[in-house]
Amino acid sequence: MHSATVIRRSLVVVAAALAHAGLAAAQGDTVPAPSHSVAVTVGSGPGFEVWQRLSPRVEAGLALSGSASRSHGDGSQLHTTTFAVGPQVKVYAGPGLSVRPFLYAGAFFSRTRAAWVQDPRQTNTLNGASATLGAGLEWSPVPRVAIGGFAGLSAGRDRATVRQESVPEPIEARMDSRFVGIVQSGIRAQYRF
Amino acid sequence: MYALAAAALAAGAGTAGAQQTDGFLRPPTSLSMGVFDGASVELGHRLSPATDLGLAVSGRGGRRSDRYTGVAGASGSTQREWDVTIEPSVKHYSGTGGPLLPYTYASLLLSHARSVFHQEGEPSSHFRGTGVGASVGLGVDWFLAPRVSVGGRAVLAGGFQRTSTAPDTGPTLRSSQWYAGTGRSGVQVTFHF
Repeated sequence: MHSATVIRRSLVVVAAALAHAGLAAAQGDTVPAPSHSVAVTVGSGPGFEVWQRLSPRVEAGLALSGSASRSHGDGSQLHTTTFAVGPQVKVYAGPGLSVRPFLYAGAFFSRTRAAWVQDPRQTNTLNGASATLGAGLEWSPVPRVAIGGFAGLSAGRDRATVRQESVPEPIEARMDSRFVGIVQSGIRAQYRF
Repeated sequence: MYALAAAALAAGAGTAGAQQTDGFLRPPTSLSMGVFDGASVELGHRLSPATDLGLAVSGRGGRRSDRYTGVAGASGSTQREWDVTIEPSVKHYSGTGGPLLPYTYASLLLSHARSVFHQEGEPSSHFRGTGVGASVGLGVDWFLAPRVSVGGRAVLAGGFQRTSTAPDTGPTLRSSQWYAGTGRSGVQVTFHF
């Protein structure tokens, strides 16, 4: 993700969170526990996440990211689209702590397609899927705002295809990768409302 | 990104002041993650009020297969690889307590990687790499709350790496390298629990 985009999203989330937290504090914060939240990763990450509290200890979320672009040059056009989605769930050890440990499980599916409109036409497609299990911690410096992250084990598969419509027959390359490794989420800021 | 970190620090500073944070009273276990970079996970254990032992671990394994079809016929290749890095460390805090604790740092760095590459119709090639290193440095942890600190360190690091590439048929190619230089951890957030 472009760093300027990350900065803008971070600013929006932090400003909204701090303003809301200050308002809540001024009002005595007598409203019920919030059940919705949004989260962004500090640094690179898959767009943003929306979360729903299912119980005092369980939250379910969805990570979303996507982009589309079109560029021209030297008689050719490049069309690129990316889309990714990932269901996630967190199970907290207990409510009411300023630092809350949790277990994390998530899956992530992504698709990227790049097409060169030229002669010969070439299309690149990348499909990816992965699953992650981990454990993490969250800290709430002010009400409704949590900063945290998790570490765990991730496994997945990427499949890429490059196809060129050349004559007399198309040229095609396929790449299939499977991987497993230790991952960490990076630091995330989550705002509940 | 930096705006988010600054806002988090500012929010935490107020919390820290209210809670009269003293880093020497931190809980016995910790989990550290890089804010802007870093793929490893670091677990810490408090030996005494002034001394922590740490262990950073990273690793990844996978298998990749490529397949090409076109006018020249078909060909394919597969590659299996894995790597692991382990860095045990010790931190010794100094100062007079309070939320800001400078520390001295020392670590050992052990790494190992292997891969096997096979191109259809050709002998396989086996790669093996091993590294041993050490680092010493100075850092600071700022305890925003009794269970959360933000910090980083600068180090002098040095080590030795040895690699070998061995085809099924033919001689083994070996290389080795000494290195030394400066480094830094990046900004790290540590949760203590």
